[in-house]
Amino acid sequence: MPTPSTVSIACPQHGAQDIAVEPTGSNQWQVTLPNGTTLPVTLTAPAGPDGKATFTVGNVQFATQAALTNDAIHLWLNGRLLVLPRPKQGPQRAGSSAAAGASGNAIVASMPGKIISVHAKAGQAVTAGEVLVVMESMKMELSLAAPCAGTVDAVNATEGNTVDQGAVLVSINADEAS
Amino acid sequence: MTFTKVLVANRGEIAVRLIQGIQQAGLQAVAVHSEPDKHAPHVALADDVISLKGQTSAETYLDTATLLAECKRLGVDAIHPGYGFLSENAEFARACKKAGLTFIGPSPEVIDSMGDKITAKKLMDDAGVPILPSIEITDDTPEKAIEAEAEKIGYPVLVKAAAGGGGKGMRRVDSPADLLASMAAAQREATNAFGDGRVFIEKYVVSPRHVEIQIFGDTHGNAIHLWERECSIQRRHQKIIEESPSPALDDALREKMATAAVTAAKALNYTNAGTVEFILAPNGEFYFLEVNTRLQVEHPVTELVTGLDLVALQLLVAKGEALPSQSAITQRGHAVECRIYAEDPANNFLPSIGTLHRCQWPIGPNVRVDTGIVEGNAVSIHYDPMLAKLICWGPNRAAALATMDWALQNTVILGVTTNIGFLRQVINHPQFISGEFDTHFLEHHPITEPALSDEELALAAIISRWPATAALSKSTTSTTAPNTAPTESPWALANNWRNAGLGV
Repeated sequence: MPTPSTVSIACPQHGAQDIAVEPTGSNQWQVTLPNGTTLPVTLTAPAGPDGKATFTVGNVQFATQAALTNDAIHLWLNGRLLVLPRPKQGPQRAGSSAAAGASGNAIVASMPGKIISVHAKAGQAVTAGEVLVVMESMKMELSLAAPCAGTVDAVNATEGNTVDQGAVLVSINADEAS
Repeated sequence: MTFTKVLVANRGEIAVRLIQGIQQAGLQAVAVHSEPDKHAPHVALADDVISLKGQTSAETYLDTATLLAECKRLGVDAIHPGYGFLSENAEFARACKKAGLTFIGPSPEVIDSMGDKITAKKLMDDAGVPILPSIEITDDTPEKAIEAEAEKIGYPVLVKAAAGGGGKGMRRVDSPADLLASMAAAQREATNAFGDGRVFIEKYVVSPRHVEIQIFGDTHGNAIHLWERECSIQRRHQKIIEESPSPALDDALREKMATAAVTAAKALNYTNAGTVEFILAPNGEFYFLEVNTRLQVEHPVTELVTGLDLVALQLLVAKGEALPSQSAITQRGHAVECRIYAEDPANNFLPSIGTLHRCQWPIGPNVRVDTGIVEGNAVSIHYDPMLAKLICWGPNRAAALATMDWALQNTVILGVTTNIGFLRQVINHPQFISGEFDTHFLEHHPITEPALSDEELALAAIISRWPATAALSKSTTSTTAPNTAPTESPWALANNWRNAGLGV
């Protein structure tokens, strides 16, 4: 018999929400929210290859569309896009955030794009706020600055290369906080 | 000047719009495309195609030598540059003329004179168009004189780089005590950014609105206006929502601004389409900002309220025909435009790339969609992130906004993050609805994404763990290339995930 499992959903206002889901029949589930609310969910119109599906949640009907990207499910729900991380292979940890982007001691590409210039070398001393990488995407230029004072540990950015969002471009050994 | 085959030297939604307009006028349209744009709809729509090697704009859409050579080969006799790219490049306009091609736009002389901020301002001042009071500063301007002039303009003032753009070398100064220090800082910044440290001081308008007038001139000496567009809702100094009429204008002010714009057009001997941009102060004073010597992104709102086709008018002027008379041009009802960008409002509006797995446009009364993408296209880092424009009409502003809300709600784009939800929040914001806003609207009214309802949260939980709902999938065939098919649905993959041991 299926057993309940827990899913973590990032809510724009309340952060990660742990939600219990229990299959109750064919295309039917019972969902328990962190606030204790329990809602029955039923798939009411068959899901097609075009990504459209209709559900009833409690007594509200939803016509949804969904598509898979490389790392996420894009869900169109009530006129807005929800990006749901795709289940990963192996055991899942609830609430683990996708990209460990804002690492305190690194410069991370905050958008996908092309590296225009690099102003950092390994071993170089930098001050907080110093622009170390300039990148460009879709006609927009973005300057990326050192998040802290310290010494450049490694540089993974090369002028002219394109990088993905979240790529670590420069890592910095922070000065001991005074 | 007659022509029969027109190159649209552009891409995206404007290329589609222009090719359609050219074909509707009974002419042939030629498209150009880069390698990444091979499958873009403007290519499929055209009568003839120029395929260029390369990905970047510089290698393709801006390669004027190759474009002109290809025009000769294909028997092209006119070029429409659209907006951006080559549209305000006077050198290119001259090169077209030299090659015997009709450039569909203003004369190279006008493009040149309006491209230089200081020249443009002087020309407008001479013509009697109101400009922002300002002082030019040279190396030998005495400090005392600068202070006295700034006092005359009245604080706050803005220090601006003469060669500037994009907010670089720009500083607001609120009191005389800060003037000289701010000026020095702006000069340093301008030298670093543009290699040109010249600055000028201009009146700073508090709570400005951006209102612009569509103008047209022909070769018979006629200059007309097509009323205004309100473009105050901006992010990163770029418009995202435009409308006509402007909620800020009454009939008297509207007439006054339109007359000023026509005065500008006449002073410049303006031909073809252009836009005179103004800053409007809360007290109803308005000041010349710049003239855009091209068709603008937001031209459809003017088309919907005037009932005129601006591209058809551009072709008519380029052929040497006369414009309709001013008295024939009236505003009817209200139109609003939303620009849909591949960007993430929650991540500082930074661009988002990916494959467009789904594009579903709203089809319904009083809704127009201008777009240059189709499902399966990739949004890449090479070009502008604008995916489409939704333009809605209504008998009044409230009706137009209600239709826009419906249109946004019925636009589905999956595969890249877009600003659709954000635009809906703005359209429904009480301050926006009141019509009382300025260009700082988004800074002063941060838009937060609404929380998910209990029902939405429950459904998101079900769909996020789709493997557990494998029973949904009617298809038992496994998908071999799960990450590339453009219209792939999660439901179809359910079995794979279950096989991977992820099902519950």
